[in-house]
Amino acid sequence: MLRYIAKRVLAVIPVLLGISIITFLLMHFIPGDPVRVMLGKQAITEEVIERVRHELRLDQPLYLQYFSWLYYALQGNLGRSFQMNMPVLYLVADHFAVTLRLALFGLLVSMLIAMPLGIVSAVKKDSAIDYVSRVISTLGISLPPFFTGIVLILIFALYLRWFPSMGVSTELFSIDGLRTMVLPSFALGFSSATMVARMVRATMVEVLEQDYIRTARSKGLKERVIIYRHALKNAMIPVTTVIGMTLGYLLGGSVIIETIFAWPGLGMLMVNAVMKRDYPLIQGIVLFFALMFTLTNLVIDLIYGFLDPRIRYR
Amino acid sequence: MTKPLTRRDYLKTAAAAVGGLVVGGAIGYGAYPALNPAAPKKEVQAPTSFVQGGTLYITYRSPVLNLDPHIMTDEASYGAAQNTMDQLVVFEGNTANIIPNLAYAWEISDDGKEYTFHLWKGVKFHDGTELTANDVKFTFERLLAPETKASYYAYFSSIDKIQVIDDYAAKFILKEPNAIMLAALAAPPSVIMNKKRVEELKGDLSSNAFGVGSGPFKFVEWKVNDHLTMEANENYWAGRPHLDKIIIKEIPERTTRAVAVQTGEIDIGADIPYDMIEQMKGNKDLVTIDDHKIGAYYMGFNCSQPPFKDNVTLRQALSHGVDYGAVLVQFRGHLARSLGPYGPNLWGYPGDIVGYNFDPDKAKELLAKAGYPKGLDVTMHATDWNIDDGQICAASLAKIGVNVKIIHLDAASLDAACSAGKETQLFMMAWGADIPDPDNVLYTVFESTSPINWVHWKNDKFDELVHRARVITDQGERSGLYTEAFKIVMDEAPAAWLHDPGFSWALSRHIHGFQVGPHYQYLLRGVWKK
Amino acid sequence: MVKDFIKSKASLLGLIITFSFVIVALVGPSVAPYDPIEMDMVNRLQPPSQAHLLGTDEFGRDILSRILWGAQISIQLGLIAVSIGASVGIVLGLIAGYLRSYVEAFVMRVMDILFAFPYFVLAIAIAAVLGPSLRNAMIAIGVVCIPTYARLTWSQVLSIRERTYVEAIRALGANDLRIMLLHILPNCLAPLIVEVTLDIGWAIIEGAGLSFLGLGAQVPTPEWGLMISTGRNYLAVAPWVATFPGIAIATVVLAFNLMGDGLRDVLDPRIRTARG
Repeated sequence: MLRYIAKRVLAVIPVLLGISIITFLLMHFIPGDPVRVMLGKQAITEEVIERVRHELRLDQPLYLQYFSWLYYALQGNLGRSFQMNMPVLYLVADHFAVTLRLALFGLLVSMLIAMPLGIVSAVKKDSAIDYVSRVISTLGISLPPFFTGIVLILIFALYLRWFPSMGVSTELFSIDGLRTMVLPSFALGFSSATMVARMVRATMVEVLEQDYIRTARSKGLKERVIIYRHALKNAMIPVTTVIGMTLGYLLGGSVIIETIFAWPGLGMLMVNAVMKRDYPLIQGIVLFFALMFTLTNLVIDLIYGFLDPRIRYR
Repeated sequence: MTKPLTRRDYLKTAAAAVGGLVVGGAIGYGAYPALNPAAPKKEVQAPTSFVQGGTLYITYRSPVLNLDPHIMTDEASYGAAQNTMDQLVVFEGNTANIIPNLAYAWEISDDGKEYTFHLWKGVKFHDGTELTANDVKFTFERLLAPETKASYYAYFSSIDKIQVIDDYAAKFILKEPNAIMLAALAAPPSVIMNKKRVEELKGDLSSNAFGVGSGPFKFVEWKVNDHLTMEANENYWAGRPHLDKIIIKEIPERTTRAVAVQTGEIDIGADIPYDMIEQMKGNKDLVTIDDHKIGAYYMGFNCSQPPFKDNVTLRQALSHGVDYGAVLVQFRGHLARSLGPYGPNLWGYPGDIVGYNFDPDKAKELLAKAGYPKGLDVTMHATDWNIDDGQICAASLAKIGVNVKIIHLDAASLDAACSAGKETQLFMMAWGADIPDPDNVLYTVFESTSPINWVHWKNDKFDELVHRARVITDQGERSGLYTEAFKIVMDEAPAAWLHDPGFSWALSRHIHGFQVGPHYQYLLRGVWKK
Repeated sequence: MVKDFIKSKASLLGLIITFSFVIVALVGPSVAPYDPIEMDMVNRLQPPSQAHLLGTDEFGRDILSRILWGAQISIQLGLIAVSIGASVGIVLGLIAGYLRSYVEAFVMRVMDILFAFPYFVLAIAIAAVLGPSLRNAMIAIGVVCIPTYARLTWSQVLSIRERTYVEAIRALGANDLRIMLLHILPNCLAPLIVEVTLDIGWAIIEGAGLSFLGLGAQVPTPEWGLMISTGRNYLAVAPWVATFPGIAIATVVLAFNLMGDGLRDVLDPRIRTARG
C-alpha cells in the first residue's frame, strides 16, 4: 500500500514541473511587452523602461528567468505581482478561498441535482421519466454558464428579489452570507450536474443488472431496500471519481461565474493577470490551479486504491 | 462596454502664471465666510435636513488598483484617494474653479516662479499626527524622486525645490512659470501624505494606507478586487462628514452593477448602460446623473503611414463617410456630437465651426479625388470600450467602399499599438482632459512631439501656435491662438471626432449631496443618506 | 443496433435536432431574410415583430438572420476543434498503447500534464498566445481535447493488444502499422464515437465561453456565443438579443448530448467518457 502511495505522490512532481515550464513558455509568447503595459501611464522614457526591465530581470535569457523563478518557488516565494506589487502567494491564497467556496457549494448543488436524477433514470430506465430527467440533466451542460448566471440574476435578484445579485465575501456562515452563495452556486452546479448524473445513472444501471441484485429481488426484498442498501452503495465507488473530476472542473470553470457575480476569486484574478501581462501572477495562479487539480486527483486515486484493492497491484 | 480612460503622461509644460494673487485671494476669502486663519473652521451650518450616519455602498466601473497616490493611474483609485486624503487646493465640484482646501490662501510671485501656500493649523492625519509644511515638502519630494516613477511627474517636473517657511507655510520654487500648476495641485495624485506614516510603512503603500491621509474618511481595509472600506474621520478639519462608513464594492459586470443599484444593494453605481438609464426613468427610487468630460472620442487616422500619410483629402473623405447620427443613437441622447477635439464646454472653441457631416456622396467624391475611386481596404484597431463606436463607423464606411477590418485588442495592447504607430491605420481612441485647459487637449494630443499624439500628425503652424500659447498669460490672447489652432486641426482632419466622453451614474433617491470631480473621482465628503 | 437507438426517444430527438441543425447550417444563409452584418441603428433593440421575427440587436441587425448564419459557424467550430483533438489524441494514444516502454511513458506523462491544466486556463493561455480569433479558438479547444482522446485510446489499446488474435497476427509477421490501423483501432471506436459526439457539443459551449472573454470569434461575426456575450449587456432591456442565441446553442448542444448518450447506451452502457 505504501509503495502505491509513494509512487502516486512522486508522479505528481514531474507533472507540476512540466506545467510550470509550459506556462512559463506560453506566457512569454503572449504578444505585448509587460514592462510597457505595466508602466503604461507612468514615466515613459526609454531609459525608464529599460531600467524597470532590468529590475524585474526580464532582460535575462528565458531559461535563467525560469530557473530563478523555480529556485524561489521551491522556497515558497512566488514573487510579487507586477501590477499590484503584492506577494503572489498572498494574492493567490486570498482569492483561492473564494474560488474554493464557490466550487464546494457548486459541487453540493451539483450532487443535489444529479443524484436524484441519476437514480431515477437508472431505476426507470428507458421510461418517460428516464427521458425527461435525462433531458433536464443534459440541459445543464448545454447552456453556457454565463448565460445561466445573468438570467438567474435578472430573475431571482432583480424581479423576485429573493437573492442578492453579487457576492460579499466577508461573513460566510450567516444567513446573508449563505444567500449570496445561492445563485452563483446554482449557475456553476447546474452545468456540472450532468457529468455526475450520467455517472450515477451508468453505474447504477450496471450494478442493477448484477447477479446479486437479482438474487436479492428473488428473495423478495423490497425494491427500495435493494436500491439504497445494495445497488447505490456499490455504485458509489466510481461516483467518487467523478466527484473528484467535478471539483476540478468547477475550480477551473468558475472564471466566468466570478466575473458575473462579482466574486473575487482566482478565475477573475487570472483573467486580469493575462490582460495585464502580469507574469509572476499568471505563473503563480496556474501552478496553484494545477496543484489543486493534481492533488484532488491524487486523493481520489488513493481513496480508490484503498477501496478497491485490485487497483493497487497494477 | 466602455472602459475607463487612463491617465496619460505629459511632457514638460512651460507657461506663464495666471494672475494668481488677486484670483487666489479673492477665491480664498470669498468661498468661506468669516475666516480666522489661526484655527481650522468647521463647515458652514447646513440646512437642518442633514441626517448623520449610515453606510454608503458605492461601486465604480473599474477596480481600485493601487493605494499609493503617486503611482495610481486609474479612476477608481483616484476616488479612493480623493476621499481619504486631501490636496492643497481642489476643483469646485465638477468645474474648473480652484478653491482652497488644505491651503486656505496662497500667493504667486510676479514672475510666476514662486507659489506660497498657507495651511490651516491643527489639521490632523488619521493617525493623530499634525499636518505641517514638512509633510507638503515630503510629499512632493517623493513624487519627484526617480525611484517613485510617479505618474504625475511631468506635471511637476518644473519644480526646483520646496521650502518650508514655517510649520504652516510652504513655498514651491519653480524653474520656470507653469500655467497649470494650480490645476495639477488640485488633482487626486497631488494629495498631501503623512511623512511619519509613510516612513513607518517604508514607502510601501500597496496594501495599507491607514494614517497616510487627512481626508474626510479613514482608510480601514482593502480586499483586492473585492471591496475597500472607509469610515468617517471624526476630527476632520472641515467638519465630520455625514456618513459613518463607505464601502466601495467592485462589480466588474455592467449588468450586475445596474441590477445592484435597482435592488438597493448598492446606493451609487457608475457607468450604467444608457438603455437601462432610460428604463430607470420611471423608477421613483432612483436618480440618474449624466457626467461629461472635456475632450472627445475619435476615430484616428495614422498620419505617419499609408494610406493616410500626406493625404488630407482621403482623411476628409472618410470623415464625411462616418454616420455620426448612427453612433449617437447608442447614447439615447445622453452624449452629444463632438465636432472637434473638444466642445463648447471649454474656452478657445471656435464659435463658427462647421465640422464634418455625414455625406456619403461627398465622401465618394473626395475618395476619388484622393486617388481611391474604387474604395480601399483598411484595418481598424479597437478595444472593449470603443468597439461599438468602431463597428458603427466601419459599417457606414463600408457603404462608401471602404472595407474595414476590425482588430479587437485588449486595452493595453491598443495603447501600445497606437503609440508605436507602425501597424495602425484607423484606430478608435479617446482623450479626456486631465486639466481643464485647451493646452491639455490640443497640445497633448496633436503637438508633433507629444507622446500622446497617436495620430502621428505634424503641422508646423499648429505646433507654433500651441507652443506660443503655453508661454503667455493672458487668457484672451491664448484663446485666440487656440481657436486658430483648433481650425487647423479641423481642416487637416487627423481624426474623425465622434462624441464627448462621459457616462451615467444611478443613485438611490435617499442619497443627497453626491458630486463627481473632473477626474471622474466620486466626492463623498458632503453626502448624506436619508 | 440501429433499431435500439431509435427505440430510445431521447436519442431519436437528439438525432432529429442534429439533422435539422445541419440542414440549417447548410441552407440558413440562403433563406435568411436580412444581411447578418448590415446595421440599422434606427431600429436597434426592437422586440420580435413581423418585420423581425426574433427582434433586432443593439445595432439593428436582424437576430433571426444572424442565428441562421451562425449555425454553420458553430458547427464548424465543433467539428474542427474536435477533429484536431481527436486525430492528434487518437494517434498519440495508439502509439503509446501499442509501442509501450519509453514512448508510452513520455506521451502519457505529457498528457497528464495537459490534463492537469484546468481546461479553461489552458484555452485562455493558448488563445492569448495565438491571438484572438475564431480559428485560434478552435485550435485552443482542440488542443485541450487531445489528452482525453489519447487516454481513452490508450486504455483501449492496452486491453485489445493482449487479445490472442492480435498476438497471432503479430506472430505471423504483420507490420506494426497495419496492426494498429486495421486491427486495433476499429475495436476502439465505440467509446471514441461517443466521446466525439459529446465533445462537439462541449466544444461549442467552450467556444461561447472564449467569446465571452474576447478570445474567440470577433465582431461582427454572428457566432452564437459572441452574440450572447455582447447581448448580455442588454438582457435587462432587450432580453431577446442574448436569449435566442442562448436557446439555439442549448438546443444544438442538447441534441449532440442526447445523441451521444444514446450511442453509448446502444454500443455499451459501461463506456466511461471524460464527460461522465
